[in-house]
Amino acid sequence: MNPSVLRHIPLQPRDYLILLTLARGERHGYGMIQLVEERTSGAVRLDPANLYRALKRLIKQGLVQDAGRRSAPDARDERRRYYAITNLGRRVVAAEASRQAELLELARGLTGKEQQA
Amino acid sequence: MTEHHERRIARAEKWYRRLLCVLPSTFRAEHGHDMVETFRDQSRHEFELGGVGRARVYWLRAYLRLFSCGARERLAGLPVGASRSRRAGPFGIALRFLEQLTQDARFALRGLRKRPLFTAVAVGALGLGVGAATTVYTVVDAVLVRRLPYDEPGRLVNVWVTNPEWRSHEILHQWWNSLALSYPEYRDWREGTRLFEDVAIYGDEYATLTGFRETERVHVGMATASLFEVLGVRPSLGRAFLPGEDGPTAERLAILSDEVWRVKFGAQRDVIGTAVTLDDEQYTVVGVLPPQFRLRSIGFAGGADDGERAVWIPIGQPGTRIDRGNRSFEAIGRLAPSVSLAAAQSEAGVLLAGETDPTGQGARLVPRKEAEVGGLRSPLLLLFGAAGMLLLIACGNVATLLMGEVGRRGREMATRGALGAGRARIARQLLTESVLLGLLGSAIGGALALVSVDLLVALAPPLPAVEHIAVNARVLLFACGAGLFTSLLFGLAPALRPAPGLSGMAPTGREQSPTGTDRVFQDGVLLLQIALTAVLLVGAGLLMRSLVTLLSVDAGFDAANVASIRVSLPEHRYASSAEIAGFYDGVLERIESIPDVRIAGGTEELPLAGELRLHTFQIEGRETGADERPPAARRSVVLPGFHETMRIPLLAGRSLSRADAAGVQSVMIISELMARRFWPDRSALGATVLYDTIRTIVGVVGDVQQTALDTDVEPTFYVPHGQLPSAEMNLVARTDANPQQVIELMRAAVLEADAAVPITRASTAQSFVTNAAGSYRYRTLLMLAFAIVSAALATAGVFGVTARAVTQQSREMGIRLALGAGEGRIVLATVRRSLATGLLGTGLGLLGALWAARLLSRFLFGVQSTDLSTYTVVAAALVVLSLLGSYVPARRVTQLDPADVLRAE
Repeated sequence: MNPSVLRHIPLQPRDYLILLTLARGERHGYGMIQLVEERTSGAVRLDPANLYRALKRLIKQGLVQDAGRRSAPDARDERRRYYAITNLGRRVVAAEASRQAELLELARGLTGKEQQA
Repeated sequence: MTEHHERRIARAEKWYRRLLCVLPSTFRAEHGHDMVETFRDQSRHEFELGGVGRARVYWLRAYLRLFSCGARERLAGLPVGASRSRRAGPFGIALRFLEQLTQDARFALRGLRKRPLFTAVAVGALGLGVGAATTVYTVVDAVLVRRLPYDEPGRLVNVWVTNPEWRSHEILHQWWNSLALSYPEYRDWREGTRLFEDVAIYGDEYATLTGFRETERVHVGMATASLFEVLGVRPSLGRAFLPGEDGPTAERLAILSDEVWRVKFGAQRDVIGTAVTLDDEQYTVVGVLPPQFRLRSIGFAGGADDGERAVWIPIGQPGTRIDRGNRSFEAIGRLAPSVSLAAAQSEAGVLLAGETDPTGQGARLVPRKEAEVGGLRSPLLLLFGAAGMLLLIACGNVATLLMGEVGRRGREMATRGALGAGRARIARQLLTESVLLGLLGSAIGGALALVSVDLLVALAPPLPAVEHIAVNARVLLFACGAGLFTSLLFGLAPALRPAPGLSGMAPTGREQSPTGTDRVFQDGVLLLQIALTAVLLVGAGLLMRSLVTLLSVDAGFDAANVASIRVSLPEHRYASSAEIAGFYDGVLERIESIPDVRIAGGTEELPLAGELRLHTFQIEGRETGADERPPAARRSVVLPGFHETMRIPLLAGRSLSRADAAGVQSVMIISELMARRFWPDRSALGATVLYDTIRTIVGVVGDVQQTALDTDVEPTFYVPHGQLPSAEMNLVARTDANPQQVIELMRAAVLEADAAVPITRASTAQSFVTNAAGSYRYRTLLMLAFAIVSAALATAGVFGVTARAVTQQSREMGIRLALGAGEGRIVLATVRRSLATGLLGTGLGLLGALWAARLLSRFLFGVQSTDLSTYTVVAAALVVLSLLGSYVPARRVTQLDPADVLRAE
């Protein structure tokens, strides 16, 4: 795998969630918070401070980019800044997902054998 | 989402924006704006999901998160590694300091987490103390600290006329210095004044508002054109009244309150120029007041407040009196800059007395703030003081705990000292720990205040500014300050304690035995705690006895199972006495025919629901001298059946009946006190009195607590409604069923008679009795809660100190046990010191209470501030608590196995 991708693996859970929400399309800050909360059934609740702290880091790492301000239909058409995932970001998310899948397989294999024994 | 909600969100957002300053400036510049927007979006979402409660929780979390993120961002910005403290110069020193501080904080946090029980007890005690103080402060903040919603409120004063002649009158003396003004007096005053920028008067009226779905009786304010100018309030729509629009040339104009504009007119901006109908007269709307506008009537001696006025009209409408005889307007003035109150008072005195007035009238000026909240200052400060004592007691608990910790951690401290930590560094470490505890306590206390403030408001008797009672930034700042202040207070003592050297390390790592000064310090703290608890307990005890006495006052009537509604007949539709009498006769008949109603009647004002007016009269055959005041008594117009319904006993003669109508002999019945005062040596029955006409006294009834439970009864006379009809009456009915249901049936009966009659009040007679004890009950409850929590904390203090002494002395005790000492002696030896401290603390506390209770005496009723039994009970309770608190841990001594103790040597 590309070393520029590997450098970011493993991802912190919060960063992973943020990248996942952006993988489906550009979003503004509150949109991300809402989607994360919805996806995790309320288990993970971001708030502006830690969201933007994470975004700042992800932008610096080149995984996320600023997609400009435009009017947001889900915030009463007020103008909001949107964020988008970069190509590198997409590849990092994919790599993290397959890493986690492998881990899951491994765990299944181990617990399965124990049950047989 | 309403505009009100949006305003709340905007306010929270403003705070969020301010707090952004905790972030590094580059971060703020890059993301600050977006963060605020996201905050707004999420606030709206939380509001929609769970209203203000849920939004508040979110806000608190977001603020706290902002702080932690800010701290982490700033720390991340520091250069990494040991090199960071090598820089020279002030910046280097600051960096090193910051580095040590974070190190201390991290270390302290780890230490606290390792000792969960200690941390929980300390933070819990502090949280209770800070919570109590913050809750009371919330009310203090809203009532006493908050700025009045006027422009430069410091220059506003209420002005009253004083009449020294009334000073010696037995009843009138209470109003001698708070007389209202008449319109001509206002004109004279306004023309002559040089020290006031401008002056205004305002008054009250009630009118029937029609033209909307429901006919409603509304509170109408009458104002001179100058009023809004004086207050510095600009209408949010349209204009204020203009000069010349009041007085004899008054026009039919109206300024709406924000609420009426929203509720009745749907907040439409084109309301200006339309008309409102008051008592069938059309008034042109010229303005709408801003939402925060409030103008409380001060009334006589802080009487009942009727709430905000719905509509304002100019003083002097046709049909209202603006001559010198109608002195019913409150006056307010704006002092010119840098004019003293005394100078303005003497000027107003001269101008208001007039040249022709021989009575020596003068003026009294009261700063507006004082006029609005003056009466509340001392009860609030009393509660605030009590809460402060509770905080001190909690503080004592934490100090004792910390002191014990220092002893237990002697070895750790000695090791750190040996490794090169200076004394100052160790002291700072300890202080950091207490500050951390203080902050945690503040957080718990703040959260406690959030919950308890709503409870406090729900229980409270009517308070002004109740809508402002909320946890705001100032309140949170107070909680933080209280936590930090107390943490420094209790943290300083252990921190300043001499640092143990290596010699301080006990060989086996067992807890160090306490030094003499430690024990003296602990006993001192305990003494203070018990003394303060004694003060609070005595306060609570005295208030409780007052409440019990108050509740056992015989009010002179039986309010149970009596339903009442108040009807205000619109004067423009019921103009003649005959019409009014006819209406009430009909309604009373309908109410009497309700199956559950046993008996019904009516009165001008229910006992304990309000004041009856004072009326003067002449006793026939007795001349009032020229310089003598005519006799006066309270008057109530009643419908037949009133006394029977309220079970006010008939002592002599007969009661009033339907036969006492217009055209037959004019009669009245009087209260027992009135009979005794004015006819001391003969029966009042058959005596004649000149009131509105010549009336014969036909009956004497029992005295009734009319205005309040804690005042003396006053002479009262009752006039039959048939002979002196009153447009506003309270109908009462006694029932065997649920009074609430009967209220609905009574309402139906009234509306059956006339569907367009406003019903302005509906409640049980009992509710007024309950309210009459309201402020006593409230003070007692709060004080009692404080006292109980204090007693618990103090007991915990005794327990803690004794338990520690037991642990520390276990070796000595074990040896003594082994040598054959009896268990009783050992226990006694252990508890003796705590007990002695407890007794001494109780004694000192009772002395303190004796002094403090004098401050309390104006809130007491029927009990002396030196009430022996209260003091005895409190002393006994504290002795029992000290015994309990010290005996339980001391018993552990007897469970020592001497063999174990000796083996450990």
